[in-house]
Amino acid sequence: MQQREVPEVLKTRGISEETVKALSSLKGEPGWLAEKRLHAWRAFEGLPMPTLRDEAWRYTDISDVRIEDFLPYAPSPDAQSEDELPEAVRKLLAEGEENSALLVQHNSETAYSRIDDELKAKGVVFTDLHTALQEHEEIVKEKLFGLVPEDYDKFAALSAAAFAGGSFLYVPRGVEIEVPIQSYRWLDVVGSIMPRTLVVVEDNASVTYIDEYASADAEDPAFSNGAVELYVGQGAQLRYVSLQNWERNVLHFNTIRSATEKDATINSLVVSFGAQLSRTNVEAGLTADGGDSEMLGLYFADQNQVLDHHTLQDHLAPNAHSDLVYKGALRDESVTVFSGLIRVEPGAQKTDAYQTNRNIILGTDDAFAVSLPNLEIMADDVKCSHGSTTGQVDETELFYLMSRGIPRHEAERLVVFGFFGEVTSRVPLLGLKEKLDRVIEAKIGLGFENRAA
Amino acid sequence: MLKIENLHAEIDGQEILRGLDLEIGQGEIHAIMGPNGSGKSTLSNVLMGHPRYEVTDGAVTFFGQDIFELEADERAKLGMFLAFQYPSEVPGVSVANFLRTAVNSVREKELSPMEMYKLIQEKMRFLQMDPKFAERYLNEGFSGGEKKRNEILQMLMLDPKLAIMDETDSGLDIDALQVVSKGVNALRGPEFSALIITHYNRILRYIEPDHVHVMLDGRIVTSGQKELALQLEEKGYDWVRQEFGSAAQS
Repeated sequence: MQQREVPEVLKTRGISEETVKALSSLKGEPGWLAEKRLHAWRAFEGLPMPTLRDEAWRYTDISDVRIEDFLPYAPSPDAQSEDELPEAVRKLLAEGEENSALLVQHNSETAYSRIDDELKAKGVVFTDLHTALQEHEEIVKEKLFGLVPEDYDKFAALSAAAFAGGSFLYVPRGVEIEVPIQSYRWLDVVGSIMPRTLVVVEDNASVTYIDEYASADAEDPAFSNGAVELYVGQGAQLRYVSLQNWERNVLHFNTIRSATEKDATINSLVVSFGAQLSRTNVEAGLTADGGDSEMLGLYFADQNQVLDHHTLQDHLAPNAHSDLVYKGALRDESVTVFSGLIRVEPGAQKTDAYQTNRNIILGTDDAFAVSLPNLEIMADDVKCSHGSTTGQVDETELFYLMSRGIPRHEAERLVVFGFFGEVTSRVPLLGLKEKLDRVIEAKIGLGFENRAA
Repeated sequence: MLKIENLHAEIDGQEILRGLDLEIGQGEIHAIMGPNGSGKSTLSNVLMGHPRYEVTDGAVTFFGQDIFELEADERAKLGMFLAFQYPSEVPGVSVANFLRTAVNSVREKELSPMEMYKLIQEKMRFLQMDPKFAERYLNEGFSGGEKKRNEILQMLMLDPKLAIMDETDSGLDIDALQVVSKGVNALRGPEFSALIITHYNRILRYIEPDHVHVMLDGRIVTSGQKELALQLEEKGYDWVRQEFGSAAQS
C-alpha cells in the first residue's frame, strides 16, 4: 500500500518540522491536514515534557523518555495475503477472536487489510487512515482530532503531528455487525509506532472493535504513541477493546476518548499487560441524554513495570449512566497508577455514575499501587459513588483453599483468576478471554513466592 | 489414627494451647466441648495448618505421619478435613469450579467433567441445596446457614478420613443443624472419624459421640462418654472452671 520512497528525514532519529512535512507529503495528504500537522507540531514544541511535579504525572516518572532518540518512521513490506505476514503476527491472528474485518499495521505502515464482502456491501468501511483520507475525506476531516485534539497534552500533540498508519472504521446507520473487527499493531524495529484509531458508528448501528498491540522482543527502547477517537451515534452500540501486550522495551502512551449521542452505549475494555511503561488515558464523554458507558480495565504488572491509567467519566448531559471497574494485580517491584474522575457538569441531572478500582498485591512488599478515585459534581440531582481497595492476597483465603487439597500455586491461580473474573465475566468475547487468561497464567508463572526475588 | 501429644501453640506470641493430649481411633466420633476462649478453634486451625498459628511444642501424627511437616493441602490429601467456623469468601470462584479443583487435587485419578457434575448434583440433592448454588461465588453473600451447608457439601465431596467440625453448629437453626448432622452421619462408618468442636450440647443430640472431652485453658481437663455432655449442659461451664480450673493452671 506504499508506493513512494521513504525520504531520509523519516529514517533519521528524532522528530522535527521537516519530519512532519515529509510525512505529510509522503502520504500525499490534503492541505488542511498538512497544516493541522504543523500546527500540532508547534503545540508539541510549545508544551514542556510532563514531570513528577505535574498533577497528572505525579507517580509516573517519564524523565528517561527521550522522544528525540527514536526513529520517527519505519516502513514495512506489504503482504498480499495473511500467509505473507510475519510468523509472529500470523500466530497472533490464529489466537483470540474471529474477525469479520482485519487490519495489520506493521511498524509505521499498513501491511495488510481485509473486510468481509458482506460488510462491504452494507457500506462498512475499514481501512488505514491514509486510505480513508483519500476515499472518505469529508468524514475523516469532520471527526479526526475531534475527541483527542492536539492540545490535549504533549503526547496527543505529537500524535496529531506525526501519526502514521492507524485505522478508520465506519459503520453506517442501522448496520449491526456480529463478528468483531480487529486491528493489530505489530512492531519489530527499534523505533516508533504512532497509530490513531477513528471509529464512527452511525445511529442504531452496533459493532465490536479490538485494537491489539504486540511486538518482537528487543533490547533497545521503542516508542508507541496513539490516540483513539470513538463516535457512537444515537441508539448505537460500540464495544471497544484495547489490548496492550508490548514487549518490555516499549514505552506506550495512548489516549482513548468516546462520545455518545442520545441513548448510545459504549462498552470499553482496556487491558495493559506489556510495555516497560504504559500510560493510558481513557475518557468517556457522555455528551447526550441517556448515554451509557461501561468502562472496564484490567492490568497485571510484574518486574519493574509501570502501568498507569487515568480515567474520566465526563457527564455533560442529563440522564446518562456510567459504570467503571478497573482491576489490577501487581507483583515483584512493579508500580501501578489508577486515577479516576467522575465529573458531572452543571445541568447533567439524573446522572448515575459509579467507579471502582481494586488492586491485589501478590507475595511482595516492594510493589506499589496508587489508587486515586475522584468526584467533581456540579449538578445537584445525581447518584455517584466510588470505591477503591488495595491489599495483599489474603493468607486465610489461601489457607481455606489449600485445606481442601488444592496446592498453593493452584490456590493462588484461583484467587487471581477469581479477582479478574469480575471484569472478564462482563465481556462476551470468549476468544479474547482465553487470550487474556493465557497472559495472566504466564504472569502468575510458578507462583508468587517463587519469583519474588 | 490421630494422636496429639503435649501440643503447645500460640498466635501473635500468646500461648493458647498448653499441652493438649488426645487420641482418636478409626471410626470414632469425638466431641470437644469448652467455654469461649478455651482454645477449641485454635486446636482445629492448628491441626489443619493455619499459617497464623505457631506450634511451639508437642507432636501430632495422622496415621503415623508427622503432620507438622505437611502443608495444608498435603494434610487434606491424607484425608483430613476441617469444616470452618468462618469460611473465607473467594470472589470470582464458583462453588462448582472450586469443588472440581479440590476433588481432582485429592484424588489420584481425576474425575471426568460428567462424573464430577453428577457427583456434585447428587451431594447437593442429599443436602437439600438448590442446584443454582453451584454457580454462586464461593461463600460470597452466603447466609450463615448456607456457608455451613457448603462446608458439609465439601466434606461429602472430599470424603475424608477425619472431619474436624469447628463450631459448625453455632448460629444454625434446627433445619440447618439437621442437614449438617445428616451429612456427618452419612459418612459415619469404620473408616471415618470426626472431631466435633462445640460450645453446646445441641448438635450431639443429632450426632452421637463415642467420647466427650472438656477443654479449658488450652488443655483437655476431663473426658468421658456422651453422658458428660449432658452433665455439662446441666451444670454449665462454671462448674468446669470450679472443678478443673486450678488443674488447668497448674
